Amino acid sequence: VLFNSFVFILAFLPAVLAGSWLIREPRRRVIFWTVASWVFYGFAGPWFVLLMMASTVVDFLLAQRIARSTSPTARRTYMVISISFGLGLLGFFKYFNFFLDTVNAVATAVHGVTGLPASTMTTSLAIVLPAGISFYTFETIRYTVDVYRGHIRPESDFWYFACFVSLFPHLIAGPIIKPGDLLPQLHALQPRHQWRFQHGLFLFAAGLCKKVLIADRIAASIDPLLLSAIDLTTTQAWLAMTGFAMQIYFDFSGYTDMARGLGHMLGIEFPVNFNSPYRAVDPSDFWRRWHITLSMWLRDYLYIPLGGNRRGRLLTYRNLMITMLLGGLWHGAGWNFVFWGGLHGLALSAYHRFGRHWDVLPVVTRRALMFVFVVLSWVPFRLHTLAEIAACYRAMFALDFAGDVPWRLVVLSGAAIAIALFVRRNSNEIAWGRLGPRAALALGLATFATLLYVNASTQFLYFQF
Amino acid sequence: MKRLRTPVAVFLLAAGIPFVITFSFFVVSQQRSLLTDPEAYIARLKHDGAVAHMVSLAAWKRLLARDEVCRDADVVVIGSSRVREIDASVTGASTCNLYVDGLSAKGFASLARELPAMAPGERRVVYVGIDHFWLWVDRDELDGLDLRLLPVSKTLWTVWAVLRPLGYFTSSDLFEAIRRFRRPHARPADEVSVWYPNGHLRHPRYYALKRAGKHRRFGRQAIEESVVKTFSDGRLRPANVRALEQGLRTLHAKGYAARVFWNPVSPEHIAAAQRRHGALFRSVIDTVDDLAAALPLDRYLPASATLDPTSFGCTEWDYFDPTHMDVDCLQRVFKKVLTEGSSSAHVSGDSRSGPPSRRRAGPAS
Repeated sequence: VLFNSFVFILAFLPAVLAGSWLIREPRRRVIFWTVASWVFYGFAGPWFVLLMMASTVVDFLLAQRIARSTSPTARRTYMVISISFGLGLLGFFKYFNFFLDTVNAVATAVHGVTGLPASTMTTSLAIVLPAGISFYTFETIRYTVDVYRGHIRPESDFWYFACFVSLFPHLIAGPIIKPGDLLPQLHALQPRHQWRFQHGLFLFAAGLCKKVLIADRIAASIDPLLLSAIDLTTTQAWLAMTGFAMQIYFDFSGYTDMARGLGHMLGIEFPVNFNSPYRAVDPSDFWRRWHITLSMWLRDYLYIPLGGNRRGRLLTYRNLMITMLLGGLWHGAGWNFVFWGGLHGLALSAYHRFGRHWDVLPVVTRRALMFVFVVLSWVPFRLHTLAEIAACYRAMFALDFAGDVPWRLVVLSGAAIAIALFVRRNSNEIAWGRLGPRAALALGLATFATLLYVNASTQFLYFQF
Repeated sequence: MKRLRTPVAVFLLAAGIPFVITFSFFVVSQQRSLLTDPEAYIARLKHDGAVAHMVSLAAWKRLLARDEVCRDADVVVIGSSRVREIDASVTGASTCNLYVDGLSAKGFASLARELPAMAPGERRVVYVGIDHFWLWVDRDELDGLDLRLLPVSKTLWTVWAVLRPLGYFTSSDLFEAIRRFRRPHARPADEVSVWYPNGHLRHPRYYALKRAGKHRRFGRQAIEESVVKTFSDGRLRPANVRALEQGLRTLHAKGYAARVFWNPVSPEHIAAAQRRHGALFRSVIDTVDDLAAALPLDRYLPASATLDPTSFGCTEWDYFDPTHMDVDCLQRVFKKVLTEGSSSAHVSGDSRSGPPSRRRAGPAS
């Protein structure tokens, strides 16, 4: 079930809200939400639920053991087992075929160069990536590490922990939740359901409009263009990649708005995940605004444990590159994503080195240059083969202005850029709960238009990660 | 909820009322398609000879398979929308066409189960037009909720039929409904699609334009889109292979002479599919070749025989779109390799003349 479907909007959500309203006992409500989330997840694939349950049970028990153990070695062992289990699942389901393909490609290349026999390990396994596994694995890893570090106490009630892992608004594509943020909110539930209905409903509707009316409309224009990426002209290449920059932003931030809106309707506050990222003035600023919860996870559980910026300049660059390369790989099992992460790692390192010179430039210049860099970096994110990526970059700088101009895309992207860069307040900053009837009318009519396109809508881009 | 505050009510009314109105308009204006049960539709077709609306294809075809129209036909056709125009003018015999849009191997197996068994000594040909996606589309078209509700309760079925458009209703459906509402009685030649009692479909406007020398060309983008749409989620599913085998065995057990062929698609589509999804493209063909070699088929025409329509003299003038050949092209294909009097030069399997050869051939693109 997708948030942008009638089954969710007209059946699943009303049923969950009605249940939340009727169930007065907080723990029972938590159990109800957990079971409802499993049902929600079960639509993606019934065995996905079993996998997530296994991960939940293992991490729940290991965290208890970590907390009860007095021996540092035992505590560390339990933590390593927990992390290995999570990463093992992720590695198998997300990266196993990538690993095989890479080994086979290298073997073929070596065979071509040396003439040695090429040994093909296997073609590939028919592995289906369970939706949301990247997100809930990072959440459970964070939980056991935080228990190990003594930042939080282990959850003693399985249902509360299961609800933390599986609560449907954040399950498939985040935001990546901190256990220290969500578990206390679950324990603070009141017998009478405390929801912020207007705020939640309007934020959900705004997210739906962003996804269906903006992101999907742009996608409908750029997807055909990028099908033959090797034939793009300069104008088409820039328009397509600028369009993609807008599509992915409105798609993912629209999803986050919907998730946060659902949270408000359940009486739960989920963290902000986007803060007008295309207004960023430097690479560090961008990662403080784009997919904030992932950035914070990578900072707290990868960059800082690697040493952060405490061990000199070169090691800082190394740590930045490792963090961003792995961050890129987290997005998808492909070298194009590693390349994308590498570009951002280089930009962060360059900013770390030359930031003083960069910061003296006018804000408008920095913002414009940063936007151009981000658009260029989306090329390997969107196009998956080296030939397509190279062709797109070549087209962007070939100064070939022949060919048709996709005017529909110009209009759509222009409107999206205007909203992303120049509208004063983003969806986090609007007091949705205090909107008046006129704004509600406008949002209602936009939602009506959105409903006419819901069935033409596509899956959220980040569902594949 | 302390109280339903005014902005929430305004929002719900602003979003809900226009949507309910537009959706209701759509349902009411399309009620002939949405609310006619398949039995009544078959009766209507028999009475009128042809109609310009269509009900749930799977429900219609399931009933049609057992109907006298199908029982009395010399030839049965099963396949996806790519065989939708096949009728007696193509097969040369009275034909029952059981095409279902996007048919999968699982749907094919279900259709095979629905067909009545032949009496001893009776022989009927069933043409099975297969597509690559048969081996990965993971659904049985004949196992829909509407098909299960229909025999249980007409009221429940009607409720479901009213709600079903929520699964696909978009602005373009609304605009099409408005267009039809404003022009309710189009001349037969102006109709986009017309359905006939024996299950086949024809596109009068397409043929009127073709005769007038007007033909829409398909650019590279349309070709690439058709390939992405067809192949992007594709992977060979063992369950679908088993379903295909089961369906063909069922047909044989019921006394049908199965002639299996690959539905022709434009050579540009074939080339793009091979470029983008070469391994999948070939593995599906190899799998079906292997399967066909092991099954008692009347004829099996490998992909190299029928996938490329240009080998039958079809040109882009005969392409309805990159993956649908029109009836002029299909007539040539059938005349040359599929009907009784056709050459069997391309045939790789004939159960009556010993075990078929295990030929592996790619499409002649």
